[in-house]
Amino acid sequence: MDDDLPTQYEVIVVGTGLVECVVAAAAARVGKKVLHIDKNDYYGVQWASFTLKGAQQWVDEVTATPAPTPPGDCELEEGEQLVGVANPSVDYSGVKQTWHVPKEPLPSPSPEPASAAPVEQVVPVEGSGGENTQLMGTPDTPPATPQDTTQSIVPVTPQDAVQDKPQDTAQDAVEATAQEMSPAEQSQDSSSTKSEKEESGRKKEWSQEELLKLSRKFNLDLAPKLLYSQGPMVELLISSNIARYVEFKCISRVLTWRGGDDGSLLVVPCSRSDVFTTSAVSLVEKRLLMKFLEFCHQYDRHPEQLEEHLDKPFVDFLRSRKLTDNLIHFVTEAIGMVGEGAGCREGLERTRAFLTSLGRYGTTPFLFSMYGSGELPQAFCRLCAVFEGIYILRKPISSLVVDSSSHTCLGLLSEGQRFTCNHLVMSASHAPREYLPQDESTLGVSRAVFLTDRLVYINIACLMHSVS
Amino acid sequence: MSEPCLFYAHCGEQDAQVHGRLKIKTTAEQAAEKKKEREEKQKLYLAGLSKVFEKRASETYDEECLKTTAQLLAANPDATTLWNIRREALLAGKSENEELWSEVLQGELKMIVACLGKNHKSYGAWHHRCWVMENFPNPPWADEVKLCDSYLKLDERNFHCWDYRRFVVAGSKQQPEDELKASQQLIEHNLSNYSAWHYRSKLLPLVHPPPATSPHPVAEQALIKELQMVVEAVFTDPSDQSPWFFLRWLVGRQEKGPR
Repeated sequence: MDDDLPTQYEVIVVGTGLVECVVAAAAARVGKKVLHIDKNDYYGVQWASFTLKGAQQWVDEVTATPAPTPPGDCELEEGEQLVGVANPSVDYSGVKQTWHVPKEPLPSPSPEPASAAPVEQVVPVEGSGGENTQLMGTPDTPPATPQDTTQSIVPVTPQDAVQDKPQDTAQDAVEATAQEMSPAEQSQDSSSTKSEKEESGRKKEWSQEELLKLSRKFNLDLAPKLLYSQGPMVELLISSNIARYVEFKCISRVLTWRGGDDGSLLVVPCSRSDVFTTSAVSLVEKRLLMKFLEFCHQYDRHPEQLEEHLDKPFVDFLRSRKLTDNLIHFVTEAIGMVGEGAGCREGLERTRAFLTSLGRYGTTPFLFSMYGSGELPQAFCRLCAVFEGIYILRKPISSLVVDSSSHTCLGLLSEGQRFTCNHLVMSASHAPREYLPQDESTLGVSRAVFLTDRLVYINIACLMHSVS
Repeated sequence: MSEPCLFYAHCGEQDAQVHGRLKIKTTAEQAAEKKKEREEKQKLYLAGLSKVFEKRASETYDEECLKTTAQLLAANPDATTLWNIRREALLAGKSENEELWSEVLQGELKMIVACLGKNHKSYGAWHHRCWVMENFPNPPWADEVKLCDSYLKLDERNFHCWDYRRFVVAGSKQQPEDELKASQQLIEHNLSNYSAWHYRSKLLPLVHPPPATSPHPVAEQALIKELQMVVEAVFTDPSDQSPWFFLRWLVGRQEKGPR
């Protein structure tokens, strides 16, 4: 098989992360001869989605000390040299997994009602910066958990080599949205099948064994990703026809954590019908919020109302519109999703992005790929393959072949075989360290995945009730 | 240029996507193929049509007649004549056995759903559904209420479905309380749903009848609740007509003050 494999390509793409896959698909679509390889046996690299067992394997893999890849050897022409590549799993630190349920099913039903919600936590911390703090919400203090989780999910993976891709802005925005909702909505999905069984009787107590049997029911994302329904990524998926390879689900609600010790989860009123039915805002606030949202929707048509505010903080502008603290929280934290210090223009732009995406596919502005975010890179790969791109997984590369004088890449070496290419695309995490800017201190992203057997929103509401 | 304000729009969910797509063909190729496909469909349709007309002329209302009309109507549910012929055929073959006849009619209900999939605003299809329900020995009303719910979800202003809903409610003795709840849900989903507000104004006097001397259209307790809802709606979006119309009805029978 390997003998038949062509060794000359116009573009070789290394690693099947989302950005790499977009590049591969685009190159194949315009008729380039593409080879796309990945050292793993799954697609997606840091964008992958796993079954429960798959996630465990991933934890084992990235926590194991990596075996050094031998630089490899092949016949070199004069003026060529081999350059070793980096091991991408160095990007992760402090990964661990914790169970909060027994290993085996309990023999008899316990008289105590189940109180601990989270079942398992997988905490990958991405990026090599030293300032990463691990956020591990403990199951005994559930009100704190959602906040910690949500805040630990911060935009952008730090080291993607290819920057000027069309969806880049979308990524920032979309990933930021995960701040508010990913854990809640995801756990809803994975728990829905379970809750059906529970309806008939008392709360089921889960064990590791039982959960692992259902391993394939889980889609655990390394990088959960929500898409703005009207955002550039969705437009790209439609215009490239790639949307047909993936099933999407419209997120059913947006939740936000309203501060302090006695804080609670609130449903964010995003659409008009939400504003109408919500009891989280008062009558007068309803009018203020609607007026403000309508204004944001077409804010650039009223430059005269903005003039004096544009260079000032967004929060000041909201105050000038007489929005109450309650409303300001909803707008800055959940709708615009900007930090406290955000400028007015940024805030308005983000709010508008949220609003224009409303109603396209449902009552919230977000789409989620039904079987995990890992579907997205795979869908781009599929388009690439349809246009004759060649895919090989479990194909590690040992080094690059570089022209010593001009420092242009001539190809690469993989398992003793040499492939030549005109262009090589790889993420910064694969790239030889000497080609990367040295002094750049990379920010880390802390992520945690929580598995729970109930809805986060209802969970908190019930707890509040039982406390009071 | 004014773009549609998506902030207000409530669309259905995206269609489920299909696995395994082939390479995209060029548009010229596609167009030719489409044309050929259409011509073939046309031929089939016309052949079926003449067959059905022949059968009607000779009054041979057999299995084949039913089968052909079903196929033709699935392709074009707006053909009233075909619905008429179908009813003639059904009556001609009507069994005295109630069970058998019910089974046939159940089949009709399924067939109509297929036609509504093609066009959910087909006069003929909705009319045929009424006819079927009237002919049932024991009409399955409960399922029909659910069917209305799902079609109103699809298009909340589908007046065919609203008409049919009233027909079903009358036939099934569905409690107006339940209908009131249904209208509430529709309004909460989209407060511009004028049909739902109107329906509410018809139901409220039945559920909460006012005392004979009252100037109000509904009992006071209910009136206050309804007023609250209208105020919430109006504060949410004062530019929307529907709650104002409802409000006018709600307070419209106030006694006029002395001049």
